[in-house]
Amino acid sequence: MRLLQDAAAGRLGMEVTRRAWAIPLAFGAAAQAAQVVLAREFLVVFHGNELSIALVFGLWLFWVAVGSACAGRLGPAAALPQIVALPLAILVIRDLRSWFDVPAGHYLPLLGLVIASGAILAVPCLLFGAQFAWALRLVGTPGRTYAAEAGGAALGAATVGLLSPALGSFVLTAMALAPVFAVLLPRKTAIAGLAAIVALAAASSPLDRFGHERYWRHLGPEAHLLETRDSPDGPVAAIERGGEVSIYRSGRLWATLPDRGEAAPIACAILLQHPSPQSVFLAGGSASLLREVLRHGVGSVDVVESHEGLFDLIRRYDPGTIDDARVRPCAGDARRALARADAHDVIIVAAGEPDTAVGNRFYTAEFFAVARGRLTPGGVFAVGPLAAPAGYAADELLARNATIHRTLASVFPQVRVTPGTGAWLLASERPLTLDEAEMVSRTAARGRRDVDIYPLTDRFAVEKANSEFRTGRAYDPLDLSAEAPIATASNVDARPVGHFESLRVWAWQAGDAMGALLAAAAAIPLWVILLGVTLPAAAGRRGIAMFAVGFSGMVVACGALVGFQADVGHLYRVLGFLIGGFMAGTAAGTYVKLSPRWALVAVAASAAGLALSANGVWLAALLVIAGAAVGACYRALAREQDAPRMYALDVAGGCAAAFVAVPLLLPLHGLAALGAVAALPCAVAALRVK
Amino acid sequence: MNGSLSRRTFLAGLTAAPALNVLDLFAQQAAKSNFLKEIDARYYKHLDHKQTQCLVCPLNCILQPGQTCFCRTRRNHDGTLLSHAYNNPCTLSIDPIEKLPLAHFLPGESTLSLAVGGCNLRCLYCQNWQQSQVKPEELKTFDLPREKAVEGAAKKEVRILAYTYTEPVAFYEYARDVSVLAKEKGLKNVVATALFINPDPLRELCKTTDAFAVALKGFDEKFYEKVLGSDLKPVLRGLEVIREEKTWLEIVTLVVPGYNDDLAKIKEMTGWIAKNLGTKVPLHFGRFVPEYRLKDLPRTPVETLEKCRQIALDAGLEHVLIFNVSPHEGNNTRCARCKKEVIQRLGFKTIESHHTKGVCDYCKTRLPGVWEWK
Repeated sequence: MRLLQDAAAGRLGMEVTRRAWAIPLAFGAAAQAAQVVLAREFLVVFHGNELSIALVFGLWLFWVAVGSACAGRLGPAAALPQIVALPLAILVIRDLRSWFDVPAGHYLPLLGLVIASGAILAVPCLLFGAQFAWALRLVGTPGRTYAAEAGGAALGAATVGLLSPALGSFVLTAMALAPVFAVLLPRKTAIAGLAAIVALAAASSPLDRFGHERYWRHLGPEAHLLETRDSPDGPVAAIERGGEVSIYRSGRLWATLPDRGEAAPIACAILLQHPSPQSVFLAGGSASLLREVLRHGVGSVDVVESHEGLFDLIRRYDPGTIDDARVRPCAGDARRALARADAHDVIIVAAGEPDTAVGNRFYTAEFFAVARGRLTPGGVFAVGPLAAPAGYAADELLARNATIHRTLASVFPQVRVTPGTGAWLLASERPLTLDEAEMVSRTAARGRRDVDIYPLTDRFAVEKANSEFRTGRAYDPLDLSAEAPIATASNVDARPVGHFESLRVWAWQAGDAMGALLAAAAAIPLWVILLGVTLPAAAGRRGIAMFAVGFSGMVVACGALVGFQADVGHLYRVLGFLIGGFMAGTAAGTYVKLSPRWALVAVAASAAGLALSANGVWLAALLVIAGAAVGACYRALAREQDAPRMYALDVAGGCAAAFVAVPLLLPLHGLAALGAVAALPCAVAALRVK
Repeated sequence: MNGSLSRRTFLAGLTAAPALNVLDLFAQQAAKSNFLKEIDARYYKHLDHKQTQCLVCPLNCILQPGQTCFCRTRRNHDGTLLSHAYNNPCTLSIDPIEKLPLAHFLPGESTLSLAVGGCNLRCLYCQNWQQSQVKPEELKTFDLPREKAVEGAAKKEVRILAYTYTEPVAFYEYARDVSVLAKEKGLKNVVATALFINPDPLRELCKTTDAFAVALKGFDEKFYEKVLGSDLKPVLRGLEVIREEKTWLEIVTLVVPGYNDDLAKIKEMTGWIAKNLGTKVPLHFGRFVPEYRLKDLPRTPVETLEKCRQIALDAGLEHVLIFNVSPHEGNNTRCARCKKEVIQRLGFKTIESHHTKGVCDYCKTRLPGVWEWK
C-alpha cells in the first residue's frame, strides 16, 4: 500500500532505466495483490472480524519498511523466494489452529493471533521491502515512481477483486508474482521463476484443498469436508459428520442441517407472541428457523440471506424449505432489505454475535428503529441469538448484553429475553409473555404440542435472563443484594459500543491479555486521546506533520473499509476494489501540486469525511479522495535530503493507526470520533507547518 | 499553555485521568473478592517442614507454605491447609432437578443450585470454564453462609440444594457444611460431580447427599489424562463407593464430537456400568450444543447418540436416556419389564406419567429411583 512512500525514502537518484516505469508498477501490483489475498485469509481465522484488516495493514507497513531498510542489498534475488514464501504464508494461516493447539470449536486467542499475524507476514513483507529498496536505487525519479507504484497497486487490488470469485488464493498469488519476475529478473532466472509460477498455478487446486483440510482437521477424523466455495462475505465450507452437515461461513459455524428440533422452541417463543402471524420477514435464519416458521400457518415469508449461494446449500442439504410456495428468497443485505420492505407481522433477525461491524449493525438503535417502522400494529421483532451464561456470568458478557437490551428498550416499549445460552430478544409495542401456562396453551392451539418450549418458559430461567440483560448484574434469586443496574451506553451506528464490548467478550473467552488492553482503552476518555494526538502536531514540524499524514491516511483507509462493511454488509470480495480505489487516488494525488499547508488541509478534510456519513458509497468515494490527499501531501512534504526519516515517520504514523487507533477506538467511539482523531492532528499541523 | 495552568500541571493532569480510570478497574477487580472466607480444610495431613498434603482428591497435592492446590481452592497457610472456597458462591440459581440431570429422583422438584469457583480437572471442553478454571476470589461472588443458603431455599419454597455448575470436590468443605445443615432442616441435597475424589471424603459426603449425578466423561485412561487432566480409575472407584453407600446415582455422559464419541469406548463403559453398578443405574447421554468457547464445534449428531444409547441397552442397562434432543424417544423412561413408556418427557419436562409412586401402572413393576419425599 505504501510502496510509493518506500520509494521516496530509498531513492538514490541513479540513472533511470528503460524499464523504469514497469518496475514500480509490477511491485505495486504484486505487493497489493498479495496483501489483499493474505488479508482475506486472515479475515477467516479472525472469524470475519474486520479489524484484522487494520492489523494486516499495520504489520505490512512495518515489515516492508524493515525489509527496505535492512535487506536492500539482496536485490532482485529477493523476488524469487516469494514463490515459496507467499503460498507458505497462506498455508500457515490456514493451519494456525494446529499451531496454537486450540481445542476443536474454540476461538483462537486474540493476542496470539496478533502475534502470529506478525510472524506470518514477516518473510513475504521483508522480501517485498528488499526488492523495493533495490528497485528504488535503480529507478530514481520519485514522482513517476510514486505514480507508477500506486497505479500498479490499484491494478493489483482490482485484479484480485475481479478474479477472486473464480480463482483461489494460490492462483492469485502466482499471477501477482508473474509481472515482477518478468520485469525484474535476468532472462534465465525469469524463465525459471515463471516456470515455478506455472507450477504453483497448476498445483493450486490440490494446495487449496490441502490448506482447507488443514484448517478443518481440528474437527476430528469423523468430520468430512464436503465442499468449500467463495462468497461475497467470505469462504463457505460444508462439513459432514454423522449424517448431519454443518455449514461454516468465514470459519464460523452458521448452521447444522437438518435441524433436529433446536429451532422449534425459539420459533414458537417468537411466533406465539402474535395471535395470527401472516407475513414474516426472516433474515439469516433460512437454514434453521424457516422450516419452523412455516409450521405456524403463515401466508408468506420473506427470507433474506447475504448471497444466493447459501440458498443453494440449503436446497442441497435440507431440501424442501426454500422452494415452499410461501417463501420468497432474496439475496442481499438484510438491513437494506428490511428498510425497503413492506410491513410484516413478525420480523426475525438471526444475526448472531455482534463481534464484527457487520454483526453489530443488527443491534443498533437505528436498525431497531427501522424494524419497528416495518412492523404491522402489534407486530413482533426478534433478534439473536446472543451468548448468555447458564451459570456464572462474567462482567464483560453481562455488560455487552445489557448494552444491547438497553438499546432495544430505547426503541420498543416491551422487551423480553428468552433464557438459554443463546438468548433471543423479543420486542413489541404490546405486552410479551414467556409464562409457561400461557405458552403451553398457545403451543397447543397452534398445533405445536410436540415442541419442547419448557426451557424457554421456566420461571426462574426467564427471571434470570431478563434480570441479567436488564441490569447487567448477575442474577440473585435470593435477593441478597440490591445493586442498581450498571451504566451502559446505547449501541448506535456511529458509536458501536456493542461491537467493542463483544471484542472484550472474545478476549475474555480466549483468556488472554487483550482483555486488559481493551479495558484500559475503554477507560481513557476521548478528549484525552484527541489532545494526545493533536498537541504534538502543534509543534509545526514537518516530520510530525508526516507522522500525522501516515496516521490519518491509515485511519481513513481502515475506518472507511470497516464502515463500508458495516453499511453494505460485506467486504471480503470487494476488498481488492476498495484498496485499489485508495491506491488509484494516491497515484492521481501525486500529480496534484499543493503547498504543505493545503495538502495537510486536504488530508484533514478527508479524515473529517468519516464523520459526514456512514453510507457505503460515500465511504468508497472517500477512500479515493483520501488516497489523493495523502498522495498530494507526500509530494508536498517529502524532500530528498530527509526522505528516510520522513519515511520512517510516515510508517510509524500508519502503524500507530493500524495497531492502536483503529482496533481500539473505532468500535469504542465510532467512525465520527475516529474521523476527528485523524483530522485534528493534520488540521493543527496545517496551521503550524512552515 | 498560559494563565494559571502550567505546562507541567497540564501534562500531569493529562496522564492522571487515564491512570485513575485504570486504577478504578483494579479497584473493581479487588472488590470482587469481598466475601472471601477461609476455613480449615477437612481432609489433609501435616508433613515435615510445615508442608501439608491435601487428601480430598486423588491428586493428593503436597504443598509448601504459601502454595495452592491444583484445584485453586486450598492453600497451605504456614502449615495449615485452608479452603477459600467457602461462603462465596459465584453462581446462585433455581433450576428444575431434571436439569442436573436426575430423571429418577423426585421429578418436578426445583433445586437451589450453588457453585464456587475452582476445579480439580482441566477439561478442554469445559462448558463452565469461566468459573471453574479460576480461583474463587477472582470471581464476583455472593456472601452466602450456610444458614443463609438454607433459609434462602426455604424462602423460595425450594426443598433441595444442588451443588453443581462447578466441581463440588473443589468446594468440598462448603458443600459438606451446607448439606449437613440442610439435612438437619429437612431439606435434601444433590451433587453433580465428575467424582474425582478420594473414597473417605466421598463416604462422608454420601451421608448428607441424597442423589448424585456423576459425569463419567469417557472410558479411556488416555482421554482422561490428555483432555481432562485427570485419571479414570479413581472415578470408577468413586462410583463403586456411592453404590456401596446406597446413595441414589445417575450417570451422565456428554458426548462431544471428536472428543469422546468413540463407540468402542462407549461399549466398554456401558459394560463396566452394568457389571459393577448394576443395570438399574440410569445413564444419560447428552448432546453437545455449541456455546461459549466451543461455539464453532457442531452439535453431536443425533445418530451418534442413538448408537450410544443402543450400545448401552444392549449391555443390559434398563434406563438409558438422551438429553438436549427433543422431542426424542430417548427422553422417556420405559418400564424395564413391560417396556411401556411410564414417563413421557419433552426434554426434561414430564408430560405424562404412568406410574404411581414409582410403580408402573401397567405391570406394577417398581421403577428404580426416589419418587416420594420421605
